[in-house]
Amino acid sequence: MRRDVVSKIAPAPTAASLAEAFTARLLFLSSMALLLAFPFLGANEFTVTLLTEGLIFGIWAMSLDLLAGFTGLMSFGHASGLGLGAYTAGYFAQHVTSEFLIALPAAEIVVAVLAVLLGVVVGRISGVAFAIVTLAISQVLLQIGIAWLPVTGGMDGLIGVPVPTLFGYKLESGESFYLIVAVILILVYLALVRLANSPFGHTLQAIRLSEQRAAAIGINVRLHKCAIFVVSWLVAAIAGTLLVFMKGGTTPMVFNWYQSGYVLAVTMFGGLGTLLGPLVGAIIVTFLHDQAISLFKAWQFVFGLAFVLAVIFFPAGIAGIAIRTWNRLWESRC
Amino acid sequence: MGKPLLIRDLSKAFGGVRAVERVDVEVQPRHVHSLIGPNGAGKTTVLNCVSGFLRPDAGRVVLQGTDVTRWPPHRLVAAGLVRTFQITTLFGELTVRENVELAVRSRLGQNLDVIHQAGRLGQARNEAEEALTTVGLLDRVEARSDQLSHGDKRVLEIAIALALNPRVLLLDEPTAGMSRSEAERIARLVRAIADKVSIVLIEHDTEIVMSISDMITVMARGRVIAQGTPSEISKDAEVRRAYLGVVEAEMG
Amino acid sequence: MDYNFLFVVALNGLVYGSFLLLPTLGLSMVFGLARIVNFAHGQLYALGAYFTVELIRLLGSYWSAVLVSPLLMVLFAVGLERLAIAPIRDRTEIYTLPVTFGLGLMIVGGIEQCWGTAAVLVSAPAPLQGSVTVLGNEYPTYRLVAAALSLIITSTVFAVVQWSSIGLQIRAVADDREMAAAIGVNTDYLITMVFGSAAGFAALAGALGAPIFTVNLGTGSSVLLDSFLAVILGGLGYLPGSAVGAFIIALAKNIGSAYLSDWSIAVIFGVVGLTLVIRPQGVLGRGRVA
Repeated sequence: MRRDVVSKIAPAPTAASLAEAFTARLLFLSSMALLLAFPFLGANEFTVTLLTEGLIFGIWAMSLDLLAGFTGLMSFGHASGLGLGAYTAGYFAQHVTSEFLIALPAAEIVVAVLAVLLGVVVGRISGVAFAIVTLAISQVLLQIGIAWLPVTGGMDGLIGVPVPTLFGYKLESGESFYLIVAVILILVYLALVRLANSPFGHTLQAIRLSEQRAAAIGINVRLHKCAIFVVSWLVAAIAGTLLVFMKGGTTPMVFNWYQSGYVLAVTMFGGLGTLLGPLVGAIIVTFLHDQAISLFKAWQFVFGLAFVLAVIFFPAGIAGIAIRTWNRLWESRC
Repeated sequence: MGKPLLIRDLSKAFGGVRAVERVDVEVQPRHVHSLIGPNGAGKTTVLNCVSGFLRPDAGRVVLQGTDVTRWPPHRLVAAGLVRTFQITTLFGELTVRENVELAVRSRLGQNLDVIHQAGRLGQARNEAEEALTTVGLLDRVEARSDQLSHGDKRVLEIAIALALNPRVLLLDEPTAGMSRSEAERIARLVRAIADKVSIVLIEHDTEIVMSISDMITVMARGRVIAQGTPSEISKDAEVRRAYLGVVEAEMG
Repeated sequence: MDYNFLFVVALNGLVYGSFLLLPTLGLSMVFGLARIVNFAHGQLYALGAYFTVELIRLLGSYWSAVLVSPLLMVLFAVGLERLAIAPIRDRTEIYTLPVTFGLGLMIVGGIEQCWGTAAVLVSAPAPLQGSVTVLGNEYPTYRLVAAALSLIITSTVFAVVQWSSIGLQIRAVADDREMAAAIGVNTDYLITMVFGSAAGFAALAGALGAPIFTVNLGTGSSVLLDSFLAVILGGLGYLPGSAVGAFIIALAKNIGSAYLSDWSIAVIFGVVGLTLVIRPQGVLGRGRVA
């Protein structure tokens, strides 16, 4: 029998004692506060921008975790949701309004429609087939991005996407944009944790463990796979919207399959199925990337090596190590 | 309301091999209806076709008057047709409790619920414990299911099936690999369940089959070769030749 | 209708198809044998070309470089397989994807570190640099010769798999690994050997193709995607199907981009993706379902 090394790590691991639960909650609340206060703690503008990028990456990684970590569907084309969100939001901002609270839902609607259509198709497959088809989808989108000149701007992509506004207030400064991203991140995280702990989340885990068994206990596997596929694209599109506003544009290279592989690598790095793992992993990797780029010409080599080692030796990722350490700490206290 | 389960003219071929050919089975209410036959007779294929895991090439499956012939597994479960597997397929990493609660929540239609916390749903918890009590596994409720003994795992499969409130239960070799006493425990359980549920039982253990069945269908090489009560079957010459003869020789 | 143009485009497609054959077959064989999807396979093709450049410098002759490059690659690939892939073989097979992806990243990074971002320039060996006239069109000699060589090598591979005892073992393991092991086939050794050979063939294709097709940092990725498409169309693990698939993809790409420009590739991907969903055994229906 093959071992599936993704153990059932819930985002809120069951606490054995009141003290442990209290500490966990305290840790979480203080992290949230720190996150929101960050720009005002004296960090320089560049660091704030880098962290913004890291948080956006984190949202994207969490959306992949829903597919790969929870449901066991390893997507090799997750750049699709990100890029689609970026293009639709960017296009909307250029031609209609750059009011964030309108551009975001507009992008989500477009992405939702496409995701549902594709989800119906993709819900029928798993494993390697799923990986390859999702890859193919991202490549089709890539080619459309290049070819559909009047809408996507071809190889140059969207340029000059206007600064987003919130209720009319222009989010021009690094700090204000950061705050929006941080708030959205926290909301997304809380929503996803809710989802993970809900019956729906548990059903997804059942599907990951055995599609056959899941069907035999009355779970409509196809429907659930389609549903989580759509949700993952919707969340990825949130990240995409934030990204296109942050960069002021986007290019077809956002659909590059190495991008998809990159986010998968980071999500696995962080720890599949833990939500927090991929989030933290994304932030760490964003900062490491920035450092490494100046040191190594071939960042890909280092990253590839780290990734291979992680998959072989630490399949449960950073989160796995963190949870083991946490458990050990609390065991020794009791 | 029609008979619990009617299988008419069921046929299924794999490539050139006719695994199941024109099989007719009629299950009476609250009967234990056993399906026996030598290996390769097509029994599990029939089960797979009936439970939605394989598409039959021809024939019909009628569940309580409704034609359910090409329904997917989850729809059949919702209609009350539940099966277990020959090779134990539990959610190994999950505890006994979680395995059964998943089934209960599924039955309660909570699969798409994104609001509540799964672990806190009282009704699911209670019903799961009920099912586990019925099969006698309540004391192992927090154990990881892949840590159970083989016998307990097979019992857990039955508990999960019960949690789905079946009207018709398809058991695929529930006593496979068990000791005599464990097998008899399962046999008693099956007999007890049959008070409320109609059961189709695939089984190799002839003693158990003879002692708890109300009706027996004998298959060989994809076809039904005999059908009747245990006493009728044990006297049927052709069955003795095809199948029981082998067992008798083994039993000395 | 400019028939000459169409003819040359089609000929280009056939030439590319002959080269795509080797990496495609390798990918398909490794999957059929061990359920490993080698995401680094395209990079092995590219690396073969890069090795050739260095070897030409070291050894002075093109043909000796073409001979040595695949041998180096086999050693390299065997090392990779032993170090990175064998350890995870007892896990769910999907884990080979991220690992081979990571390996591919490492190779690309290594290539960039050693050779920079410029394209590789290899000229065809002197005696073959001219052109021949085919059906009234001038066509580079080397392309035809190299394509013919690829076809010969491919046929040899087919012959070995079909008729030799090693080939029989390979097919047995591909069919049912446990059963094959039970009758004494050394599946571990076989998988490593096939993995190494597949890499060698990919490198050979890369070496032979270097004077024809531009080789740069993006080559590995593009060859991999094309091989994927070919294998899926033909049916994962079904070698004749993969061969047919390679030619279909090569022709579709060439003809498509000549006449339909950028949209053609999107269409190809879409069609292949749909094939995998609707008919996972490939268009010929003999592949393993992924």
